[in-house]
Amino acid sequence: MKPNSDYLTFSASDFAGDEAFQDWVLRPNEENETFWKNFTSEHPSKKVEIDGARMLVHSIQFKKELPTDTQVEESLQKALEHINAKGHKIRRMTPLTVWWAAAAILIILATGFYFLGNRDNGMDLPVVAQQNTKQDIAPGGNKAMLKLEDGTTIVLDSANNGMLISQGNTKVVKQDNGKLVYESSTLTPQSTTLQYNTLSTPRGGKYQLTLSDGSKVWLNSMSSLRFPAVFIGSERIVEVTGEVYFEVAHDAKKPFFVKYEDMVVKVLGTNFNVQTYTDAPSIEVTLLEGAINVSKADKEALLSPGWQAGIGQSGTIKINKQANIDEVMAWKNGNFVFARANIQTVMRQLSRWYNMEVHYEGNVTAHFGGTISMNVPVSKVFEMLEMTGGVKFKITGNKVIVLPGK
Amino acid sequence: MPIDSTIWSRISQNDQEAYAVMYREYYKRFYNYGKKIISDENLIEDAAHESLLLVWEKRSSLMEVKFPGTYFYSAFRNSLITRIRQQKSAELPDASLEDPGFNAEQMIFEREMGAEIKKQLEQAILNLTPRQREAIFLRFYEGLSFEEIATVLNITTKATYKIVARALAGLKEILPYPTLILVTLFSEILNF
Repeated sequence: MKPNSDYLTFSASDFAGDEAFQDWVLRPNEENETFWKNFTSEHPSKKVEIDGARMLVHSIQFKKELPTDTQVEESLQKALEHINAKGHKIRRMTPLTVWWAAAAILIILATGFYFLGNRDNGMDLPVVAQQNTKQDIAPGGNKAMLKLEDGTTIVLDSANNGMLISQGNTKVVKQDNGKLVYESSTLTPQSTTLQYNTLSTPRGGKYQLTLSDGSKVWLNSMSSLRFPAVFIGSERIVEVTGEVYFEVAHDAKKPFFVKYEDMVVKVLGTNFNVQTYTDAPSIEVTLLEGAINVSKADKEALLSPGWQAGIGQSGTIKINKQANIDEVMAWKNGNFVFARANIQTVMRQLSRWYNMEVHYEGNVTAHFGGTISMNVPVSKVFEMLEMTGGVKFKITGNKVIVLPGK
Repeated sequence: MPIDSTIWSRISQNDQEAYAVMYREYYKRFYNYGKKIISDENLIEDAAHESLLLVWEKRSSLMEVKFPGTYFYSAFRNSLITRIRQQKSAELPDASLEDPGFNAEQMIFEREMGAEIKKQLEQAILNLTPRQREAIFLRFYEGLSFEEIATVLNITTKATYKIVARALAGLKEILPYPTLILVTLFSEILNF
């Protein structure tokens, strides 16, 4: 309610446009009834305007069109099925879940680490010779390289499945579908020094890793994780670049830390994503489940599920409490998800997965939203984007020209 | 039935029954809202379904927001407009890129009045912009606050005030004062 002095100068349409007045006319309750009754009796000179305004507000109506009950129920059933389908299960707090839920941190650190960006060492995604005549660029796949403490490097794409090496009492096993598992045996005595390994993915690569404590890590393209073969001591510390998702295994006695330069994420029990690509405007840490503490220099922030911390160049930490989890986690599920993204953001993400040279001709002002599998040639992605009418693409070899739609 | 905070709270705790209650309520509201903009039921149902699934997805953050419902009105509107655009450009590549607006026929005057006044009012409603009609619909019918309407329409709160004020001023001009008032005035004059 505005102060009485304001209302005294109101015309009828002023009253009609006033939020509090409208609430009284349309949704009377004890509070507003009392206020307006008092006001009218104290200021009879305004009665004309008030009555005129009441009449106006009352008279404005809208046609009412409702769905049938059947329509509503069918839609609801579809939604409930979707929610309860595989992949959307509500986590039940069984003892096993409690143990795993301790720390799933999705840390996507976009550090723009161009590992294996050099064509000469042959790790780049090749432009596939097309069976059909249409120009296209193939999607990426499970590619990574593992570098051991002593400098030995193993290319995981071409390595055979099974045990690759053993480090002390830890066996490193390569499994199908781009997974690497560190199996720690407790039988033999542990070494007292940390043996650091680095897993890195090239452009167009992705890989999954299980650490010796059971924590699971997913690496997106152009990313890396530096970690000890076995965690020794009272802390578990790893370092990342690029985009990495963590599901950290619970161990209250050994807190888990993820570091990128001077940024530290302390895991208090969660699933979270960290994105630190240097060509992205800021570092983003997104929390899915549990709690994490993000700190950089002298600033820190405690995150709750669904929150995203954006760490700017200047070191400020901005919290977005309504992170678009679908968009953030899309890559782990093998999808691109765009939510009102501009063309630069879209092309930036695509460039990490598809080996292409992007050129812009003209100004694309449209924004894009949608989901598409990552496991398709780039022409399919372009098809979807072109459907909006906001952009057009031309592919020549691995050169892509981006043009405005119309 | 209004969706109060206990329903949102229960949804945020994975309560599917509460979700169903909210779903039924909001589905009807979105359907009615969608019908003001376009008649194609399939597009409306898809947009409503999509935005309501979003509620479940975002359920852990529901209690962080003051009015969770508003966010989903916005999602519904955006989803509907996007789908309309997609369908338009698919069917008629050269079609105008102007977004569909709030249908003038959907806004009516409920009052006994002379034919002449009625005609003038109907013309006045046609003269309103689609945005003005939509803002008034969201305020009067859906009961969203000006601030919430601003979020849904992607404009500032100040702009929302202006839009509504201008619309009401235009309509008020045409409406005569209620006869009760005229009688009162006359009686005052006579008594004096």
